[in-house]
Amino acid sequence: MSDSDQLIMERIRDGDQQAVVELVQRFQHELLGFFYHLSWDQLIAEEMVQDVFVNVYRSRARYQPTAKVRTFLYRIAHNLWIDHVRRQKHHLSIDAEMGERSLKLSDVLKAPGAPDPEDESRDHLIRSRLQDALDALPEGQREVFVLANNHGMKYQEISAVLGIPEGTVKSRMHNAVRTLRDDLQDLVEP
Amino acid sequence: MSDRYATAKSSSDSDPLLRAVADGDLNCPDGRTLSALGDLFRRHAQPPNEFEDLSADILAKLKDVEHTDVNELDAIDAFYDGAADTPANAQADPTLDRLAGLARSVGPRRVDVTNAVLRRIRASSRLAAVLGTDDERETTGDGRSRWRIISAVVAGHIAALLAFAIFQIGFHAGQETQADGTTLALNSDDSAEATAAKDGTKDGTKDGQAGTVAGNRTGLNLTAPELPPNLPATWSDIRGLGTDLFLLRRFPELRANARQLFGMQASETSVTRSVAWIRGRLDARSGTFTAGDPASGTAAEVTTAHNERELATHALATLVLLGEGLGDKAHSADTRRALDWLRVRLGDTELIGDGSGTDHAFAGLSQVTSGLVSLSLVEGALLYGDLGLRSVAESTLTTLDRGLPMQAGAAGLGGFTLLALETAQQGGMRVPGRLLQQARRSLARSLPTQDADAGRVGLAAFARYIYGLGGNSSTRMQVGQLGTMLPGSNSGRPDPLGWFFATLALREADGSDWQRWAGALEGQLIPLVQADGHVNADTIRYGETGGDVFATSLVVLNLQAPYRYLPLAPTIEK
Repeated sequence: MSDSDQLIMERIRDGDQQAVVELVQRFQHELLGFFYHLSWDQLIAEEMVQDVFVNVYRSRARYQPTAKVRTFLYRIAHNLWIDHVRRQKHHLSIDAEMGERSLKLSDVLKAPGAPDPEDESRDHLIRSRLQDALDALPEGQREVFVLANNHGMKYQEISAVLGIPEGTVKSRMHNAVRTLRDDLQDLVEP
Repeated sequence: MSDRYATAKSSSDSDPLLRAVADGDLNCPDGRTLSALGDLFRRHAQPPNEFEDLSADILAKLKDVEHTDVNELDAIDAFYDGAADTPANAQADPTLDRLAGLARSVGPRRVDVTNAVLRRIRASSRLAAVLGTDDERETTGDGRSRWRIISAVVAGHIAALLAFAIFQIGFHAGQETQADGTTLALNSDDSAEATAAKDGTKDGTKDGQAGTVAGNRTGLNLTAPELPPNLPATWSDIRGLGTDLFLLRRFPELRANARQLFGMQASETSVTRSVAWIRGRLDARSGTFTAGDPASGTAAEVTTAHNERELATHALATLVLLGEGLGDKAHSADTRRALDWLRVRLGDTELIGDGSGTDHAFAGLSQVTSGLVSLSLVEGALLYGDLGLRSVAESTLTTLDRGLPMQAGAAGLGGFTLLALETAQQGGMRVPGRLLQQARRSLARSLPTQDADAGRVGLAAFARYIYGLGGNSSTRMQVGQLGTMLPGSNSGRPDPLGWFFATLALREADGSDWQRWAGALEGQLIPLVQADGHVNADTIRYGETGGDVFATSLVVLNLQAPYRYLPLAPTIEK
């Protein structure tokens, strides 16, 4: 039987690197999804997931057993994302100057066994619409929506991850869903 | 008159204009006209006599809105914050269900980052151990631990300076130049000691015994200072592992071993001869490379390097000298002279700007030339550990983009800019984050098109290797593409300029891809080297633009590939 998340964290606190492996394998995919839906870049998402676990290891002494491990990880992920966004802001002018959208690795690194071009083209279109709609949301709304929709978090947990009142989570979620439903009306209306 | 007008009248007491409209105040300018306007308005703008009571309708509408809102918001809350994952509300609102499904349908490729995380943790732990602090305290940043870190860094710098001095003395004392210009190899024990002394960060095997290399690079019997037990996965890991990007080029024995390891022993004689020839072109007075034979040359033949072409040629030749490490005393002196010329040249002409973009180091120069010059200075600064050069190199880096977009360009030549920035970054120099990001985005990440040349494809692949993405399918695809572009596979003169980045990439790819490339490369380039070591400019593509020094330098740069950079750990195909 595998250890509980808390037990794994306690082992990490004692410097057990095998416990890091277990933690990574338990949470890496959902964290990858979190960063991917915020950045839409596979490479950035992978790097940031690594950052989360390296930070967990570095700050292992600060982990409080009272905190849920998943919440603790997402809180670190959120803080890393905020730092990333802040760093990226001053690069925007360069993109504008270059007159082109920066090519993301995710755009070009195809998974092995690429699907039929027609399906791919349709998927690409839907994905592009979804990406544009999510990108158009204010940063706070997007994060709340991704956490609730793609990571199944309840408002209370999102509130703990983002460090904002539950009421704010609720209103951001309402606004995000309404905006997305309007923007993607032709795709989501029955 | 209605109450509204009464209100207007009362307020007109303090406003002459309103008083004029309401009462026809003749003391006001145009009072008569305003009074007429007031009368007209009052007569014709009266509301209907009977107001229909709209309150019931308004209340009903508000109720509707509230009802819709409450239902909608409740549905959202129930869907996302309810007890069950798929509450009844979802069925009542299929739009919500579809939206959720749509947003969940797009996700990243699943990858396993476990090894990458462990590698980074171990690298940071090793660094922490070197600094004499544990990584937890490092992150808490309390005053005591900060002081310990600062002390350790200062002590480390002093130790490095001492080690460097010992290394210089030991190296030069233990090496002699033979009559034919070749150098006698160091005693392996000496060089092991030198490295151990120089590289205080190494843990474990400092006994001078043979080291081994991971993966398919195992089993190489190194009699010189050993390679680090763990090769870096990326260039950014190099410092964390306490090793040196230029380790292989620093020692004759390691260079020989690298040639053997990568199957390019055949090029050794050509490289030795060509390097000696290039050094022979260095004018002792001016510090730059002459176009002709300096023994018979006149002052007019000495290049003054006023133009870009000559600056690029000088930088290329300097890179060749740097590719052989510090070398013996004479080689080291020549390389310093070439570097000093660049430093003085940039300083004299006030090319080094303030980074504002208006007064920049490379005004009027192409990105390729500025990349080559910067790379020479960066390599020189790191190889010599020279603070003055470092400062000049850092200044040049700040203006590498010259306010313009960076482009990989034909043959991937924009890659020299990327190399300069990444080399500086891994060496701990100050690199403007903005430029590094820009270079990575514009030069490293962009994909070459299907009809791109070998250099362009090579740059894309090499960049992926140094970022640890060698195992990705796109990198493998690019390596495969390079396999169809082997040197000599098409008509035309050999193109060492266009092959350089492909050579670097394939050396990282190793295996049969590299073997085929290296064999073809040697087959094309070695015959070009004349008995005295020079390469005729007209025998290579673009050679005429730069002359013999340019052509010879390009050929040697390719043949130095086995040892220019520390090899990365073999990658696992994803």
